[in-house]
Amino acid sequence: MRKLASLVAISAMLAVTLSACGSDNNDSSGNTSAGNSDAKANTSTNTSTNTSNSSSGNNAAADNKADSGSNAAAADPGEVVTIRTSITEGELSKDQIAEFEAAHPNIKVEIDNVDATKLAAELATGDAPDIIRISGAFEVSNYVIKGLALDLTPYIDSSTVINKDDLVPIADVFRFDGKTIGQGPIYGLPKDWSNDFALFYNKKVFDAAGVEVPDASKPLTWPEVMDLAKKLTKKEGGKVTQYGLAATEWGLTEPNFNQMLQYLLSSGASISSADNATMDFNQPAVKDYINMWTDAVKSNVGPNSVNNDQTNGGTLFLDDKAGLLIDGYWYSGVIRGNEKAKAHLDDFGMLPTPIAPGGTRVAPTGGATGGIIYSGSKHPKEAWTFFEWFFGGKPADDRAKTGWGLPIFKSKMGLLPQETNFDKQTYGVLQDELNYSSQYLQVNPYLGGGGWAIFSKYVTPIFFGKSTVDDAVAGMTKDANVAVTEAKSAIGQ
Amino acid sequence: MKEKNRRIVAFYLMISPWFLVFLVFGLFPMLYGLYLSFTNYYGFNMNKLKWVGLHQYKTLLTDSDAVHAMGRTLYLTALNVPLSTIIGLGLALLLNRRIRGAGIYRTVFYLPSIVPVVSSVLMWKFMFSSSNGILNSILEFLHIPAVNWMGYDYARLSLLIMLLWGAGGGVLVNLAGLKGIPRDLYEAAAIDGAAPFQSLRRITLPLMTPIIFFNVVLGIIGSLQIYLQPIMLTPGGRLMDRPIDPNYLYVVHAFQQIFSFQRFAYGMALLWVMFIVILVLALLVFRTSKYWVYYETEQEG
Amino acid sequence: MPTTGSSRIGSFVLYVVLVACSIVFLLPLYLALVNSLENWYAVPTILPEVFKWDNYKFATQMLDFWHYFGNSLILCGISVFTSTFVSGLVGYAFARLQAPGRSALFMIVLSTMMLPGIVTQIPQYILFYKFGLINTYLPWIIGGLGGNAFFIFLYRQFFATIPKELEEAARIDGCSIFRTYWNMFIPLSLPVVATVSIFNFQGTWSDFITPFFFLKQVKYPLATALTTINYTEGGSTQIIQQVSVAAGVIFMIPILITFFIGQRFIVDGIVTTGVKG
Repeated sequence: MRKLASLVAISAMLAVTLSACGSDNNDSSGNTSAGNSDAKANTSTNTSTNTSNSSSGNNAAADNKADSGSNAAAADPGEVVTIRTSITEGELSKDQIAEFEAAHPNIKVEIDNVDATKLAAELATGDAPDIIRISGAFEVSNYVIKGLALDLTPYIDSSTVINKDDLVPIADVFRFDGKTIGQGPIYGLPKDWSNDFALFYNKKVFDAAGVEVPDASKPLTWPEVMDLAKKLTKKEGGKVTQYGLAATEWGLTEPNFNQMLQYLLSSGASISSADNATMDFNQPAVKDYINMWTDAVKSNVGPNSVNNDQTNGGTLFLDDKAGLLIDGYWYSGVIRGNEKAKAHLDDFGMLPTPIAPGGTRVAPTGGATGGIIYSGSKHPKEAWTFFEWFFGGKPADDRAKTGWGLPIFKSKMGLLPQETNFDKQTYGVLQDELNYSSQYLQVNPYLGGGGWAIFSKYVTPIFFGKSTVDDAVAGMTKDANVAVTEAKSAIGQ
Repeated sequence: MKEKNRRIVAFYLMISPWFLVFLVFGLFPMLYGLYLSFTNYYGFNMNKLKWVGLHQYKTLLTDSDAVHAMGRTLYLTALNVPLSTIIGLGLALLLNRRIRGAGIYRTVFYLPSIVPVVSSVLMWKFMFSSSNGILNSILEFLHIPAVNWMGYDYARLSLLIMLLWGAGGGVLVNLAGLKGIPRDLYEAAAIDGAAPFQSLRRITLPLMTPIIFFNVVLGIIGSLQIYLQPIMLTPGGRLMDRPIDPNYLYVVHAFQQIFSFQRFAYGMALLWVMFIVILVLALLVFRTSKYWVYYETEQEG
Repeated sequence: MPTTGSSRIGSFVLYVVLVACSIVFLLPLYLALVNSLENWYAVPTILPEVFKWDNYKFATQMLDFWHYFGNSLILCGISVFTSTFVSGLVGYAFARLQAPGRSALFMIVLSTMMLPGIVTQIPQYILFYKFGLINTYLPWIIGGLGGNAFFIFLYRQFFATIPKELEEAARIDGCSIFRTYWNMFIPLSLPVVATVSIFNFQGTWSDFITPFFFLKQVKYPLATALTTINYTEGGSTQIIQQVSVAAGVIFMIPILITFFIGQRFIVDGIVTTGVKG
């Protein structure tokens, strides 16, 4: 503490003694011998947080190879090549990198966190990560039409690690032929995936409300879920003591674009035209979905922006204060690891993904985060070596064993946890779900991540009585078409 | 060399480090950013940009979201800048006295401004919550009906409260200014029989005007660019989440366009318009400065 | 320092106000502390329920906390000992020296703060990439040599308040312009120098976007690491808020320390620097 103060004082004194008055020297600049910080030192105007483009949050941990090697990727064959990836450290640990580098002495792996702006900057210099982490369900088609993804079909065809026939259908979410998701060349693979619109229940909450846990052998319809949620919601003297439903583990119990796409998939409706050139939200299924949720918000089945309970859904669910939580199989990992939930693990379980009234049964993925190889990669071969290892090799086994998500290989399904009753229950429901997971959310490649923003822009005002469903769908249609048209023209179509 | 010329040369020499770095690191990126706002830049097509002229700026004029957001942003600024300036100055005046533990109080007042926005918003969300939030508990205790702090009617007030909570950051600058006022001025005034309030009005405030001016200009620049706090106040608190309408500010809108829709060029156009607005406001404030800011040397125009 | 209102009631009121303000300002921080000691994923509470000090251990162990901490110190070191002085020089020129074009140039200084950073980030990245400055600390050093608009403005406003007579006296004594600045303005402005140093440290310490953009993860400072890397378990996306908040608390300590030292310097500064002709 003293040191800093005295340092400043000493340097000031030195300056005084060294430059006594009297000399006629007209020096002015150039005697401070130092650099300094970049312009961004303003106290309050900081900039963005890092977020991935997809709807799921972005997580990682720290990367730190003590010696990261130099950036200069060697040109000569036989020399060490550095591969960069935006897969985060939570997903690719230091130990794993060390293991890979030991087995492949000619390849170094570096983690490069990116957000939309940084990626844009790196693309502008042709220096984007060799393996770009993206959301399978939402981003693949968008990257493909931009020409950023390398066609991996020939690599996979000749791979000895990745057996094409062993892939579960959901892995095809990384295929796109320019029109339809799931068809055409393979551009990447998910690291894992989940039936993200399934339900988890907490029996303690059901018991407190005197409600039976529904039969897990067949899916509920979404309106049935809402009715159940209302029955589970208990109030005491105007205060909610337990909620029926939490829509996401991180936010409020309100509808969102991603969940609507699952609803539409089940009801057979599509908001995009076949060629994805136009969008239309003015459809009965869209309105039904919004109306159903507006009613749920009014009934306070979960924390929402009108009742302004800021506690997030996951916390309430694990704390026995919310009966149902919309989430995929990966959430079983959270339950298994949570101190409080662990104590009564048998009270928890998974229910199949609900369907639209009269709709078909679907259990699609809403995430399937994985990777593509950047089409401008200077080392596609080395990038593939890493890709193959990360998505099909030992890391894939390690991931499956933790139960934090589902493997993309049929042969690895058996690695999922199956010890406790809870494990067995979730595994059992999952086997059934797998039969319905070969369909993909109908994501418009030109809209990119914009659907989420458009949806919340027009739906939130409805809850506060500031807008109507008809106005909302009209507004969504208008905004979405502007976005699609502009994106098409930027791509040159 | 004549004294006057010497001073001119010295001026240019002294600002030259800044100027050179500005030319390379500042001006070039600024103009490049301006150029991008005249293209169809979408974040990935840097190699095949198309010149679209004023298209993005024309789009802006028909974008009702942008226009409304600008209105809200100006309104918030009109509230935030005077209030935070007054709070900052008031707290500094309180602290500029012989008090026990002055350092502690100074630190406490300054503390909020160093808390990372991400952490402080998390705590404020909890304060604003209706279910077990502190603010509503206080209202309840006072037998005042609870309100929805994050709803349409109060969201702006909540944002303002959160911003003002950080107003203690201005204490430091103000305090440094107050310490710079020669003590003999007060002593002379005391001998002349001036009451404390008079010396505040006659000595402190006039001599503090350059500092107040600094706070006002910086406040305007900073307030108009606020975006992180409203975004973090959303339930998810992620960059792509949309704040409730009253807190949907102008720069938030620009971020939505860039991050949700990859409309980089349009976002840049939005921000350049914001730049012009800030510049005009700053120039206006500078124009008024000769009527109320006290400088020891003459300042031109 | 005005020694007014020495009546007991006056000072009693003063302390009541001070304490009341302190409580208001401390409340959210108190909440941060309490909740950093909670169980993982617990509902936020007002009164402490448990004291899980382990959260602080996890905060520093779940990522390479001290490595990033060290990076932060490097960046702050570059910053504090340099731009503090360069900005002062530029601020002095704008405050005390008349030259054609001064106002216009000053508006340019200010205007660099008016354009939201995202507009210039991508062009800047391209520029730095061409010059080979990506993933080095050079942008901080070079950029810093240009001073910082915020600090230049701050210095200018303070130098503008120093009485003309003092400067003239120095000139008669034969002091060069630079000497006048160094021997008279800087010592008279130690409170400002301290203020700028504190801001400088704090600004660099908490700036997470610039390093995120121009550095790779190994060189990230703590601020960037904490905003890009979430505290999560395994493949979960659910952030462990309690550990996150604990990390935030540790993150603030260095700023607090520098502030606590610096603010004393503001007070002492003026006492020790009398005006000597």
